[in-house]
Amino acid sequence: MIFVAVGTHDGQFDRLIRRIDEIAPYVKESIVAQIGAGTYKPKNIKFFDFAPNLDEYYRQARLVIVQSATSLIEVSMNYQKPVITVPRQKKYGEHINDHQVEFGEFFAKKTGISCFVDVKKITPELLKTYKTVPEIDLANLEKLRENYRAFFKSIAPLGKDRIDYFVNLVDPKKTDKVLNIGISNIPEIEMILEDKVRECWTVDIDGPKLKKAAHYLHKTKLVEGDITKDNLLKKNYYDKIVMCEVLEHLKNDDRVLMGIRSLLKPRGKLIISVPNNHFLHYLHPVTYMQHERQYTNHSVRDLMKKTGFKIEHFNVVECWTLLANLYVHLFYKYFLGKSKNFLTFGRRANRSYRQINKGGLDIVVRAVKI
Amino acid sequence: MNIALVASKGGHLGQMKLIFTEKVLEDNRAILITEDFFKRGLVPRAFLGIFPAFYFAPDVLKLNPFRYLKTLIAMIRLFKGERVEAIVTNGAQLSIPAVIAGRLLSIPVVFMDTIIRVKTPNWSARFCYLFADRFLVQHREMMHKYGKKSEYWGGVL
Repeated sequence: MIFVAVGTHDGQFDRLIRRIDEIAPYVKESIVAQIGAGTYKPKNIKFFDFAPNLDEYYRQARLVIVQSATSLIEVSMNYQKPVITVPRQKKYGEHINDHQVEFGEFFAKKTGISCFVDVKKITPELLKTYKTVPEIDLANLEKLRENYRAFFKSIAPLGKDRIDYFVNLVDPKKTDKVLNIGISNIPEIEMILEDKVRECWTVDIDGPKLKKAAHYLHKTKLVEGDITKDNLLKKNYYDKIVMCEVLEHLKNDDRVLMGIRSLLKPRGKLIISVPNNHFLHYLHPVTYMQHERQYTNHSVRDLMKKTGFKIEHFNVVECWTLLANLYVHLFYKYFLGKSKNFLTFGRRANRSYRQINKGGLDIVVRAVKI
Repeated sequence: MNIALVASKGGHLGQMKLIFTEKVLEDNRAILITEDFFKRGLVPRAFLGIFPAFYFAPDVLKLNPFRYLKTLIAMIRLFKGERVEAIVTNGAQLSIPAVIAGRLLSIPVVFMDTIIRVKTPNWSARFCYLFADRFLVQHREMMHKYGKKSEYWGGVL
């Protein structure tokens, strides 16, 4: 069987169908044609206009004649059949321009099949003897797919929200020993981490706060003490150390970091977050009350380099909602005397945790001990 | 991650189906946005048997700005509703509202030129060049014909 397909384009392609109909009596094989939007109804061959799936026709055919469009590539790739291509042309009103002529000739040159711009060249003898199967090189397609895979990976979100982002940065494994320095009122990061790692430790100088946090934690080992002075933790013991919003409260940050470096195993990882030198921080009351200093991108990089860490991941997160949330919280606390969830405007800030940003209120760094 | 694949009917859609198999998408979720003669609206499990597809009426855009605006609004709604985080599009008219919607919602957009154009640039790709974040061509010879932004990542052939 010879199968002729002209595709789903809304223009007619009667030129090809008419020629096939002319030569059909001289070809002894049966011919089936898909005529698309064409107005010419052939007399000597079987035909139909559209079908939901042409797969069966392609499979049964010995020779396929198609227009020079994407269907040509699909047919060549999926069915190992001899293929002839005929491009649609503008001057016969078959398409809006002559791009099919360009592509038909390009494809014919590349794969070795025949492309007939002039339909008169299709003869009964040719149809009987034609046996050229297109040779397709899939290297470029594989390259394209590989590039897309890499692209999707590169723009994949780093985490749903703040907690998810930090947990993903820690990358918890069953064999890991993780230390968290500085506890919050609700220790959300440790609550997730403690089930996923072998040992989870938490250090804080504030005793009452640790007792509050102990309600939420089951497996985590809580240690009360000052990391800057006491020699209270084992050296060379931890795989990963998390330190969120702690470093800016300490007087000698480089000495503390050197101490923390000695707690880590070789190639151990340190995840820190510190406030960025952003103009919105000048409206932040906590900055004046508790913070010793503010960091910039350069000062963080210098500090990590000085203390013997190599930066793996660098990001700037958070936005104005941090301040809005804080003021809502302060308003509820001091004027209404109620406690309120700190994350009133959460959605906008969560977006900043999904990607690498250029500016923001917080610097997040993951570094490796070298 | 949710990826929107946008292509007009015919060859553009065919190329998308050739490139984006399950192995390329890996654990991402995709939604196919295309044109069809019979189907309209969101159809579940229409693409690769797992992912949904959204169908517009074929060839209605032409050069009518009101129809572009209508399609643009429909696309913005769709991208917001499906929480799309990346758009990949392969030409013809349907990609124009998709690229603009991506720019408005600050979603990264990859525009890939069709493989059929070997020598001459086409106008829909030229328009999308202004708005797309990444602009790909499928033939090395086409690199300098659109502008400096164009990249070559490989092609269907």
